[in-house]
Amino acid sequence: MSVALRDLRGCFEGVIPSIIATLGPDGEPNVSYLSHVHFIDDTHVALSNQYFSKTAANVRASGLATVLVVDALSGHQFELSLRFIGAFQDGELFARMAAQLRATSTHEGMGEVMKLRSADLYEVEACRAVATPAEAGPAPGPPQHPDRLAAAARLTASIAAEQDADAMLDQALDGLVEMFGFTGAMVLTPDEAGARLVLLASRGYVAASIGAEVTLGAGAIGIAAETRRAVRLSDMSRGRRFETAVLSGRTGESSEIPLPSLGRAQSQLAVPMVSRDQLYGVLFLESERRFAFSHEDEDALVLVAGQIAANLRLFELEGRDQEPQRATARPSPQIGQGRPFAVRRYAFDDSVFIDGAYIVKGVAGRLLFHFLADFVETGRREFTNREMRLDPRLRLPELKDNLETRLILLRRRLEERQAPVRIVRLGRGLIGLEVAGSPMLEAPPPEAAGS
Amino acid sequence: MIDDALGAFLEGPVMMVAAARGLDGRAAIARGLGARRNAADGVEMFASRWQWPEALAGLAPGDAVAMTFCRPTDYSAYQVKGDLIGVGPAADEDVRVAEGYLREVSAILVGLGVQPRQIACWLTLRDLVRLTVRPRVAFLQTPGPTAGAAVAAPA
Repeated sequence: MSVALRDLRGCFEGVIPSIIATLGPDGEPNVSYLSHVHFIDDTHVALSNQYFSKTAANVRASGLATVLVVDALSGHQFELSLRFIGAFQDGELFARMAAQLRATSTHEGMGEVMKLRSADLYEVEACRAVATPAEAGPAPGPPQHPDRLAAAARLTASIAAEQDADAMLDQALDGLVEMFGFTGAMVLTPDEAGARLVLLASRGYVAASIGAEVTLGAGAIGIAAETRRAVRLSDMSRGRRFETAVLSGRTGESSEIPLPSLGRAQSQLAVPMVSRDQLYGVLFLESERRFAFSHEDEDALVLVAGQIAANLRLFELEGRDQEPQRATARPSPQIGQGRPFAVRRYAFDDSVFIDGAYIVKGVAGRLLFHFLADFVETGRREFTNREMRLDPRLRLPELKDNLETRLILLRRRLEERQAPVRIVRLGRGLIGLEVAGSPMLEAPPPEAAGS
Repeated sequence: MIDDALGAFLEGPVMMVAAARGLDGRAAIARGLGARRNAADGVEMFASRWQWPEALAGLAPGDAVAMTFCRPTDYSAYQVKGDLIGVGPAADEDVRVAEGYLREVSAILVGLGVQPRQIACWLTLRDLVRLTVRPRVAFLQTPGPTAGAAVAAPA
């Protein structure tokens, strides 16, 4: 082979359409544009079979195809001589290609049209560079990437060593910024019903936007969560930016938090955080540069996301089994006594508003409201995870309640909103309530009260 | 058999590729640099033999050729299949057509965010040849459920 496939990773970004040509049994040629050629290894590629039945029939008959791929950055072209191995309608290769195709084509407004029929695996028998006019400049050399494996090893080690889930998320995002040089990064976690993802922490945006939501299946984040496969978009200049599917509230008081955005993002990488087959969230990166995220970045982020998921799982299990352990003193004494603030909760989605401003909803909303209700009634300011899990008012699921991440969401959201109530971690399995004023718990208007 | 609508499409600033049996007996690919209908209801496509020798160097009249035309703005696409009537060096008039095509399609691609240096890799007039094809059949190839449907029956 005159050109090594590994050096052509820029041709497998799904940005510039490839071309596939075949011959029928009677020698008649067929030629089609093709959205995506996937790099498998140095001698194999996979093609997304979407709709070209003539191509598929010719390949089944002859076993041969010729594909022209284009380097997405330089424009240089390479012709691959392929021999068909097999078509896969399920399995890991199919799932990975289907997720990527869905993300790319949804972004370009072709979501339903570009449904994957099969992932077709080919052996690459020859790869040659197509002649390029001198004015186009030199051919691209092998891609030069920083050592992502070393960076991933350092970051996963530091994540694994962290004792606290909240601090671990900061450590992960700071590491992505400092060790990898990424600019926009966020961690999202599934909500109670698993229908949405909620922003837990972010870096590089004007507003942190803790609590912003994305619908499962929408955009790179939603597709990565739904398919549990990494999704990478390298050039968004020719399509509309993914809709962030921000959900609207059902009351007069809005519970919308816009997902933060770089505005002119050209590249996105969304990696699911999965441990023991459970989705713990999505690690999401974006950049205003085209081709900001390489295959190596994707591989590295899969390692990092897996470590975050494993740690979150471990924190949840520890919090369930262990006795509360006080690490710090009592919560700060109540300050600003006497200044009242209104707390309203809507039962239908457990959204909580303070002085008319939306704070949080779902499990985190229930937690906040009941902390405050107990505080008003008894003056309590300390709560253990164990009692939260047993409290029927909080309606936490018996298993996989994700309490740690709900508490992180609540703490960060209260802090971002500069709310007159905060929660602090006093030790393992123990949190404290800091209240600056007098909460006045209100019933919502009857028409908005819901269930 | 190429009606006016399809004729206008393939004569416009659309991306175009041709395929034929190559020197090694496999399918080979060439990018087109403009196309037009001729008076005999044939389709002429221009291409660089310097850049695409596998596909073009061994072509001879009677060979089967497939050509696909795709509008880069909306993915509308057609494939025309037929038999090669003739192949030879482009005349001055052919070069002018190809130059006009190159200007128009480059402007569209740049408008879509493609870099001029990328376009320079794909579109070269060096050793330009004219392929003259007698179409036998044409297919709609726009992505979607109608892809592959014949748009013109054999004449």
